[in-house]
Amino acid sequence: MSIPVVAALLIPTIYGLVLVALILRNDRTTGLFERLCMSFPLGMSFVTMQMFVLGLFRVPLTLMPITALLATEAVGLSLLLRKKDIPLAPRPKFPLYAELAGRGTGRKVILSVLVLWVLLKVGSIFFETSLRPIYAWDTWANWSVGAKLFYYSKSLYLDVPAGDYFGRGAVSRFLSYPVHNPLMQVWISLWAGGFDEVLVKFTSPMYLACAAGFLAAAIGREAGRIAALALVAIFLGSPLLSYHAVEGYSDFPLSVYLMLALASFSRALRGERDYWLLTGLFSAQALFTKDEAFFIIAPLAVSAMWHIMRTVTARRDRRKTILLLGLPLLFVAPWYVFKFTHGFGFGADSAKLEFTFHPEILVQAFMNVLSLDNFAVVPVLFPALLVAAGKPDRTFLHLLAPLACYILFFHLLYAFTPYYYHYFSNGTVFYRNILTYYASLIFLTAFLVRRIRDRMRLDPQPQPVGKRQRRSA
Amino acid sequence: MNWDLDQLLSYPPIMGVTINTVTLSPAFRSMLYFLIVLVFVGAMIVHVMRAIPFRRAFASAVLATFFTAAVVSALQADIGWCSWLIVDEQKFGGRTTDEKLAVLEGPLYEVIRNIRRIVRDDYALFSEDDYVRQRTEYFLLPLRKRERADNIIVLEDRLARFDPASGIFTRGEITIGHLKPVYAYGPNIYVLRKE
Repeated sequence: MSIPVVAALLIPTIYGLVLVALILRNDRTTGLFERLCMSFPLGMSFVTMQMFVLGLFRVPLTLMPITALLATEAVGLSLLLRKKDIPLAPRPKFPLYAELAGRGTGRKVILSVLVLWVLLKVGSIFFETSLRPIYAWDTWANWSVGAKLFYYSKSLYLDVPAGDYFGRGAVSRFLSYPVHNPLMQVWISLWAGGFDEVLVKFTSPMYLACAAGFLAAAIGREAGRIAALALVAIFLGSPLLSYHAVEGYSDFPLSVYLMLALASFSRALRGERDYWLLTGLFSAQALFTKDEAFFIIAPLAVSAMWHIMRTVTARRDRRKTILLLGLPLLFVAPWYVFKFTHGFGFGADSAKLEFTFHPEILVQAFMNVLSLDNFAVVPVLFPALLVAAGKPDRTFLHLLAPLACYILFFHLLYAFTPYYYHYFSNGTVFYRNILTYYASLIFLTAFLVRRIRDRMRLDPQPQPVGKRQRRSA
Repeated sequence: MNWDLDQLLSYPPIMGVTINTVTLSPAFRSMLYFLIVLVFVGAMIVHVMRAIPFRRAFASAVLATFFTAAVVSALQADIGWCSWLIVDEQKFGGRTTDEKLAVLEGPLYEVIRNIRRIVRDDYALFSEDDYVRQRTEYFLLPLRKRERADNIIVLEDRLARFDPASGIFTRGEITIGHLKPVYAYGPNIYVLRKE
């Protein structure tokens, strides 16, 4: 990886860090590491959305105008931080290091092994990314085609008849697919000085590193450090996830945005108001990554509204909270306005709104999960953990409901639409669809682990048999 | 069923084809289910012997089963991942991106590389193989494939015919004249240009 590519990855991270500092200005609980893990996904989407808007105004998509705009914004935001006396980042703490240096040999050994395992896996993902050029048909035919055309034409390819916008028709480029992924590849290419089949996909391991780090920190707070690191190792152990983390496809970035939206929502539900903004922003960024995000973001919005209506009684506060969640969704407005004013539709161009009925597909889906392929025991044992955790609390239900709707949505598509039935039957979509909510599933698993452990602590301790017998006698 | 360690610990290497699924070996799948039952039943027996209430015993056993099975499968997957790394390091390590693509695509990339040197404008492309047609189109970007163009690329298309004497190219109902060959890789792989 060359220095310009490192810069291409660092700039969105720094931009995102400034944004996180502004948004979480009242927050004292989110550490520097967790903020850094949110920064790259947040910043990257801001970069691509601005590239999209510049492209709409026919500003050439070259390094100069894009970087000038980003630099101006970064300076403006930094001045705002300074004026409002908001620190860019909280003072770094090293609780993991303190724990590793502390007492308790057994715990230290387990922690060290888990940390090493996670670090080696993340490092190996970066290494593998540097070895392989883009190889999957779905990646180059759907996404990299657009990126190449945008990069070489220095535009969004809009000065053509509307049917050919965004390079439609080249290889298998679909008109209605969001342009976040191709514009990420353009961004890397601009810094690398050319479209390089290896370098353009370096955003994927960045998403992976951020997701792993964020999960470690967020789950650590929920369920303890060992459980968190074990869950991250389990998360990284999915072979399909490893495939996607070294490729340039959009399912994995979507998975990260959905998880971040859900995780931010969990904090907002617990009364941390700043996190409403982040929930809205990550939701909007998921919508800018892939169309299917709508089918989790819509139930998430309903779940959030339900919570707000139930818990925020003052009308003014209620309106303010709704605005905190709703306004950031305007982030994705340029894309949706353009998409619908030009009649681009939803999903792949070849997908038509036709209906069929294949209930047998649900049995096949169940068998696919039982095969343990790709995600091992996580989806199989999640329901068992759900039962073991007992009656869930409201926070968990608010988080589970959008995810359940999303899973149901996919199964309805498989059973009722010929397009998805076809792609389910030929093995294309099922596991990839699971991948889009796999990170969220791991995040929710942490809640269950904590709940089970809490229950085990709260339940009455068993008494030795001898004592009980004596008492009854 | 083959229970040797190789099959238990391996995943198929990345073949450069799919990101749809990675299939688990049947031996490992069976072993994993066996492990799930073993840990769950074992944990339940231990808890019952220690007179732990059923609800708590069940929750604890499920938790132990989840972490044991998930960590074992993650370990197995990462051993498979290491074998991918080794294979890929031998295959791609120390090469330029262009060389890596040549390794990945084989002779097809060599042909496309040669065509890229010759064809400088939009082109018409004829091939019976969807993958070959789309991959070529992809590598030739930003040049675009058109219905009619001055450059005609033929890649393994048995329906295409070119008569060098008359300079006429035919494929089904398509007939194009005044063409000269500018590149040939084999009898069925060539590039023509309008004179």
